[in-house]
Amino acid sequence: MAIIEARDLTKRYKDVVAVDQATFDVEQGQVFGFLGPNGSGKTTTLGMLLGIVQPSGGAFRLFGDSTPKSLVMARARIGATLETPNFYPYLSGRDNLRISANLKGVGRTRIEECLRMVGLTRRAKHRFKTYSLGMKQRLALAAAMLNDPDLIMLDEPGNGLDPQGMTAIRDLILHLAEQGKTIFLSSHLLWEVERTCTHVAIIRNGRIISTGAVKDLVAGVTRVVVKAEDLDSLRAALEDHPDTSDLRIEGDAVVATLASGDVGSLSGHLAGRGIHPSHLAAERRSLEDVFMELTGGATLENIS
Amino acid sequence: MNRNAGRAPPAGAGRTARLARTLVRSEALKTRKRLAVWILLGIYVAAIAIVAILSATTPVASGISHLAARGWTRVPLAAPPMGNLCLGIGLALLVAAEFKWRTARQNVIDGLSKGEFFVGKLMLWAGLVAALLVAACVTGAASLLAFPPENGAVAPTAADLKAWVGLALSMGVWGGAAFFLASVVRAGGPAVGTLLGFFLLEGLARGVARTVATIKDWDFAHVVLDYSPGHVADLLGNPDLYYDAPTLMSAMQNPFEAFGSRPSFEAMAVAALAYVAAFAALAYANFRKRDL
Repeated sequence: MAIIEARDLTKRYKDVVAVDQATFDVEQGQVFGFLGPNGSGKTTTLGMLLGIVQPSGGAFRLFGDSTPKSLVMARARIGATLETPNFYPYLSGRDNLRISANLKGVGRTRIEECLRMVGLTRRAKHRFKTYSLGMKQRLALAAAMLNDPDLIMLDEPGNGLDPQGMTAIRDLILHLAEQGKTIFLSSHLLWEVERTCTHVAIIRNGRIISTGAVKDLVAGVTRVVVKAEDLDSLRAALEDHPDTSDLRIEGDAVVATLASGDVGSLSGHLAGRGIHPSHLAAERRSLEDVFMELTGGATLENIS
Repeated sequence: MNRNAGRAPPAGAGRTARLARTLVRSEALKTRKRLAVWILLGIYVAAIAIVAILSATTPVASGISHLAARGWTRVPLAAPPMGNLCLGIGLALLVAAEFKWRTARQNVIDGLSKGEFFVGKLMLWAGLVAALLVAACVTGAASLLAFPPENGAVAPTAADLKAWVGLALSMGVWGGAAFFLASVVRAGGPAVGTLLGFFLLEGLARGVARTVATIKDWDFAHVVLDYSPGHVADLLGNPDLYYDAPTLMSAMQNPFEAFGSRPSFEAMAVAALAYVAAFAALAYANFRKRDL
C-alpha cells in the first residue's frame, strides 16, 4: 500500500521553481531517503506533504487520502520534524514534549517512554536552549514518536551530529523500521542514506531525477581491478568481454567498468582465453557514485 | 499495531470542547513559563499600586482624584496606558516568537490546522486581557488593606463594571494591533518596536491632522480622528469617561476637549470592537496567505 503518493507536486516562489513536478511513491514499511544537495527542494517537498507549504500545483495522497479534511486526519498518523528541531527554548525538554503530546492527544506515560527511548530522561527537566545539537535532534525524534505514528518524516536528522550521535540516530531509525514504521527522511549525506534507507529519490534543482530501491540503483555497474603476468593479453581479453568499458592500465593492473556486475562471468571469460589472473577485485559502486553520475558532480555551479 | 492510528476525533460539540481544552492547556503552559510575561505583569501591578498610593495620599482638597479613597473599584483604572503597553508587548512577544522559533509550524505538524492554531492565539489575546484585568482588580482589592475605607468596602457599581469593560476593550485594541503586527513581522523585538512606533506615530499624526482640520474647518476630519484606534483606546481607559468627579488625569488636561463634551461609551465600545475584529481579520488574512 502506498503511504505517500506525490504526483507532479510543484511549488513556485514568484520566479523561482523550488519543486518542479515531483512524482514519487513511498510504500508501507519502506525507509525512503529523499536525497539532494542543499537548496534542491527537499524541505519544501516535505513542507507540502505536512501542510505547512501550500503547493502551487500537482497533488498528493497520504494513506490514500487527498481531501483537506482527510489530510488532517491522515496527519494524525504522522510524526515529523522539519528543518532544525523546532521547540520553545525557554521550556524544558519534558515541557516541550507536553506541548506536542497535548496536541496529539497523548498522555504523560508516553512522554516518559519516548524520553527513555532517546536517552534524554536525565536531561528532560533542563531547558531546551541548554541542549547540544545532538540532544535537540534526539528530542525532535522523541516528539515525532509520541503518537506512535505509522509514518515518520524527518528532515536532515543527522545534520550537525558527531559520529556517535549519528550512529545513535541511525540505530533508532533502523529500530523503528524493524517495528514496521514507514520512514521518510531527507538528507544530503549520501553514505548515511545508503546505510539507512531501502529506497531513495534523488532530487536536483527541484526535479526528481531518479527513484528506486537503493540496491537496484547501486547494482550492476562494478569497477574491477585485474592483475596477470601478461598485461597486454589481459587487456585484449577484457576488451573482448561485452560488458566491460573504460579500460585503462594502472600500474601492474588493468582497471575496467563492468556494466553487468557479473564478476563470475568475467572470470570464466578470462579462463576461456587461458588467462589466470593473480588478482581479481570488484568494487561495487556506491550511492555517492550514482549521485555524482546523475547530478553531474557536486560542484556549486550545477547544484544551484 | 499503531495504538493511535485512525483514532477519529469526536464529532461536533465534543470535538470543539476537546479542541478548546487542548488550545487552552497549550497556551497556558507556554505563557506561564515565559519570564517576560511575569515581568510585564509585575510592572503593570507596580504601576497601578504606585498611582493608587499617590492618589490615596494626595489631599482631597486639591481637587485631584482620590482613587483609593473613593473606593477600591476605581483602582484598576489607575494606569490604563501601562496596561495597554504591557498587553501589547506581551502579546507581540508571545505571538511573534512562534514564527521565529518555527514552533507555529511544529504545532501544525503536531496536529493543529492553521485555523486552529490561529484560534489558539485569539484565545491567548483574550486570556491576557482577562489576566491583566483580574490583576488590576486584585491590586485594587489589595489596596483596601493598605488604605481601609472609613465606610467599609463597597461592591462594584454599574459605573465600575462599565469602566472595567472599557479598560478591557482599551487593552483589546492594543492587543489587536500587537497581534496583527506580530503575525506580519514574525520576530518579537521588531514586532514590539513596530507596535510602539505605530501608536506613537498615530498619536502624532492625529495631532497634526487635527490642527490642519481646525485651520481648514473640516468638521468631518475631526469625527474620523475622534475614532482613530489610539484615541478610542485612550478614551476607553480614561476614568473620566465613567466617573463624574475630577480625576488625577482630568486635573492635568481635559481629555474630551476634541469632543466638546463626554463622548458616548457605547459608541467608543462599538468602535473598539470594530478595531478588534478588523485587526483579527487582517491577521487571519495574512496568516492564511503565508506559509509557516
